[in-house]
Amino acid sequence: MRAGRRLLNILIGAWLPVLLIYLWWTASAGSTNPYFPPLSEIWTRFQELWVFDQVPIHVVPSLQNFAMGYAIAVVVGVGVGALLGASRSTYRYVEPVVDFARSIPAVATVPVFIAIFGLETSMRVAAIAFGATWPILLATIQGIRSTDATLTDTATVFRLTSTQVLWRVRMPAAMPIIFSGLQLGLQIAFVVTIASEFLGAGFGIGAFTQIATDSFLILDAWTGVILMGLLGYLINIIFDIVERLSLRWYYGQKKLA
Amino acid sequence: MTAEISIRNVSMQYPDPDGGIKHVLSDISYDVTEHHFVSIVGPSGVGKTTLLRLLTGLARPTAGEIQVQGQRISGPPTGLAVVLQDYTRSLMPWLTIEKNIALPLKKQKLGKNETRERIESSLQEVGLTGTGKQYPWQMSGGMQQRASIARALAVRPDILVMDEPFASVDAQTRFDLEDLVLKVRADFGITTLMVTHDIDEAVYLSDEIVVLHGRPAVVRDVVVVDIPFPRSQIETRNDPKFADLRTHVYAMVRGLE
Amino acid sequence: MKLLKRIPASLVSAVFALAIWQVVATVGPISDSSIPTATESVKALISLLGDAETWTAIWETLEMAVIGFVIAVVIAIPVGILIGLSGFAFTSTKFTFDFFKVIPPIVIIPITILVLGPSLQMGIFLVVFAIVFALAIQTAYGVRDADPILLDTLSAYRLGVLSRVRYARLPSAAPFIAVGIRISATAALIVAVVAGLIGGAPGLGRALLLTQTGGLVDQTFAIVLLLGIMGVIVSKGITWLQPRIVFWIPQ
Repeated sequence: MRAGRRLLNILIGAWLPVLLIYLWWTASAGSTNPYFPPLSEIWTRFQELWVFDQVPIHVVPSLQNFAMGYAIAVVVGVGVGALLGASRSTYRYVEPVVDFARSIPAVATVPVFIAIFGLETSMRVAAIAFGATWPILLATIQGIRSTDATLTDTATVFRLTSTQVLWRVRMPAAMPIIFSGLQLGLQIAFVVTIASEFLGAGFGIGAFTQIATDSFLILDAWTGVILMGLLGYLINIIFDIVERLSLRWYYGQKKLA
Repeated sequence: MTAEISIRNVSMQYPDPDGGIKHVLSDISYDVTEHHFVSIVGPSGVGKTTLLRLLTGLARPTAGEIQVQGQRISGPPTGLAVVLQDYTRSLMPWLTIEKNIALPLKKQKLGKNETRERIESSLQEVGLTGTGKQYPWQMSGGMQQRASIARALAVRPDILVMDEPFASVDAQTRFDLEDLVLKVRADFGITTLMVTHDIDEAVYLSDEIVVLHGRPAVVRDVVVVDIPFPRSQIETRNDPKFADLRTHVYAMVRGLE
Repeated sequence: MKLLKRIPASLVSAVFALAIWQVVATVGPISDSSIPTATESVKALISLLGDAETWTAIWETLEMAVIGFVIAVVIAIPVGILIGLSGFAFTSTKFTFDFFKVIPPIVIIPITILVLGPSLQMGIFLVVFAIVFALAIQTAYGVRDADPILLDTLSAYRLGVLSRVRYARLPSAAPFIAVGIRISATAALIVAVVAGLIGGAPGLGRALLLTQTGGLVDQTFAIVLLLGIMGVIVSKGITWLQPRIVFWIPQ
């Protein structure tokens, strides 16, 4: 009966989205509103563009910049965060600066990066990395600092050096908190990727959508919007899976608590 | 017999968060004989755990010194292993039991085969053969504490320190674990210090019992438990000497003697 | 030496950071690009703050953020409570709300601009879109988290749905809602800025966009500094305000 229960849950979860799409489809079928073309036409255009014709031209550059920027943010955020988290006194001085930098809306920093780097790819990667680093940095610092004293005491009594304690005990213990920072950083990285393309032209899904909107190619613009939405959703799903696998011990522990 | 551990005129005080100074321990002196099992008992909050932190090198006394094997300690001494009360927070939850036991062994640079052999023999000693690949949270409380003991045994310590190791398990499991400790004592003869609030347990397991009392705490008495080994749950606890000792210690802890 | 310890850390690090900026902008590898020095930017910031237009822009951004926030709260919390009360409703809406919650609002700007134009309404719509789904889900989670034993007790005393909501579900939802509100408030401000910068809605975002297209680099930096300061004020303000407001939810 378990399979039946599962199926039921899927059905209950699915009927609303299916219904909404159906409503959209039929309500827009004969539409003459220039801003809300029939969903069927949007779908046709979507397939023409993104399955898979324009993918290498726009999707690949976007994802490349996103991946590179995010990777830099992870390495810097976790690496520096670990060192800062372990050193109480240094962090006291760095904290106000970090707080301030983190309070600037990431998208608003894109004009700054354009001023420094121009409209090159480096501008995008730098802006993405900058925006995504702060939540990761903060989460790492917080995670490292809040390690349970019992864990570190045990390791210390067994004569692990403080470096070993940092990387072998505090770091893994901090992973749940670090992952929440990684998730926030992921979302910011995605937003800045798009923003850097809206503001910077060139290639990329955001750039494509911007140009389509400016040129009044409504169908194209809609496909761009939908593609961005789907990609954003997909990226988050992938992250969720990676998190569940990496933190299996944490979720296993919580379930029994 | 040489004194394995020598506590000489140790006092401990620290600034009270509410202002003033808190005197926790005052002029504690005691020598732990090699191969002996010593329990430290006293009323709640008297400073047993503070003393333990001093013994494990996690803290330094404000006066006096502690010597291990003739050497004054200024940090966790070599050859010391620890078993703490809260096993959920002292076993690393992201590591399997095997990896948990292997962690302190890294310092000894043993090589793959000997590490493996130590892990297997430690697990066997505590009755956990074959569970190496499990995670701590997949085991019961009693099993986790056994794993914690296995981890301590694997480093082949000269001194074993335990902080209320059985306080968090149910009574039945506690008896099993106490007998395990007796078995380990018979097999290895490791000098052991155990903090406990369970007086029956202290009498059952120890060669000597150190009673702390007062504010600041002093050594109220050192009670020699002259019940011969091997001991058993049924016979030993039935022994009239057991009841006498128990009552005597209890009265001192309660300040009635 | 003791005097050094008395100086607040924030002052030291701020001065230090500004000094590094100044040096990098003057003699560093990027000094020939047009980036302004720290002193130039601070000067621009001060002169901007003396300009009435800047304050209008600040007001417009705050207006969009606050109105959008209020609308979202008024919609999300009741909807969230209703969804939380019904297991069927919760499972039905989960996928849809999760999907929209994850999409960053910037993604829908192209269409929103076409329909609503670069206006205040567009900004408000964007803010609502950004926070309403997450807030509703948060509320629903909080409602569902109610203590089952407490609920059973209330049922046993034959107290109806309304009482159960009042004495069990709302109190359990309160901390969830509080967290959701705190996150939404910060997000509202950010989205209001994004609406202006990318979509041209009035306010600081648009002002920032204009400095970029007009090549007024020191003003670009100045506005970014201003946004940072506003961000810090808002987040500190929320932390201060939160325990004082949450009291109205029955504990």
